[in-house]
Amino acid sequence: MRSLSRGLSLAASGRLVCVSRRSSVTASTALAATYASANAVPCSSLSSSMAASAHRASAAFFHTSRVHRAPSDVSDDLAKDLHDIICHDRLVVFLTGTPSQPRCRFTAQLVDLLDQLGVKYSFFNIMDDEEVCEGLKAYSDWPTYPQVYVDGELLGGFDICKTMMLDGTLTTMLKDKQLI
Amino acid sequence: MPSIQSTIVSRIQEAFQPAELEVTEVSAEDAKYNVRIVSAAFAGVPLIQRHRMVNDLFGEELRSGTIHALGISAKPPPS
Repeated sequence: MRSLSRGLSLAASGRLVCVSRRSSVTASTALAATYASANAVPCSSLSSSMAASAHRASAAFFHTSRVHRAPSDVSDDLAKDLHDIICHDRLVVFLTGTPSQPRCRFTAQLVDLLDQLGVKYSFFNIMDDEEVCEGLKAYSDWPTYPQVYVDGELLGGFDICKTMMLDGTLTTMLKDKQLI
Repeated sequence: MPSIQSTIVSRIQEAFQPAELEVTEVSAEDAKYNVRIVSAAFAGVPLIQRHRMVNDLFGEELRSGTIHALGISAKPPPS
């Protein structure tokens, strides 16, 4: 399998750290990624992540007739990149746009909420990278942006953050994790 | 061809038999909708999983952009 080299570079700006990838994927390598996807094998961390997810779903007595999307929907290389971005900081948000130039209402509202909390976070502008934009939806089984990750785990989108803010669980969680 | 809004209503009703259901078209132009669901199906279910349950009903629409944004409030009835 062709090796897709994707380095991550950082641009620090005050409390915000922008995570980006050094080189964009060309059409041919994107095609290679597409083919690689068919042969991808879930790595152990993905497997344990899926097992944990299945356990949670089972504990919730949630049954579905739909087949849950498998991690192999994204290639190994892309999955590694996504994992690296998600784990780059304790709090990572994937935005449509940037905090200073949000491109949709939910991203703007999320940024306002995070500012209100005074929490430090890193962000990734998904409009800069189509492969990350589409890949992360499959990787996390979450179809929309913004997305919020805490210590490598998906917290959810703006709706969930807003709900947790209103009922106090967001502040409690962030304090427990010593993030605020 | 049923409207997106009526599709959302019928699919949620079939999946969750909600005690309460409110579907709002926030913006027809931007394909943004809000759903407020009260259903026993969400009892004991973590918040993120509730959202996944709802999102999964509209996976194709969300992928294709027929639905661009779906605001979700999903709660079990007060016990």
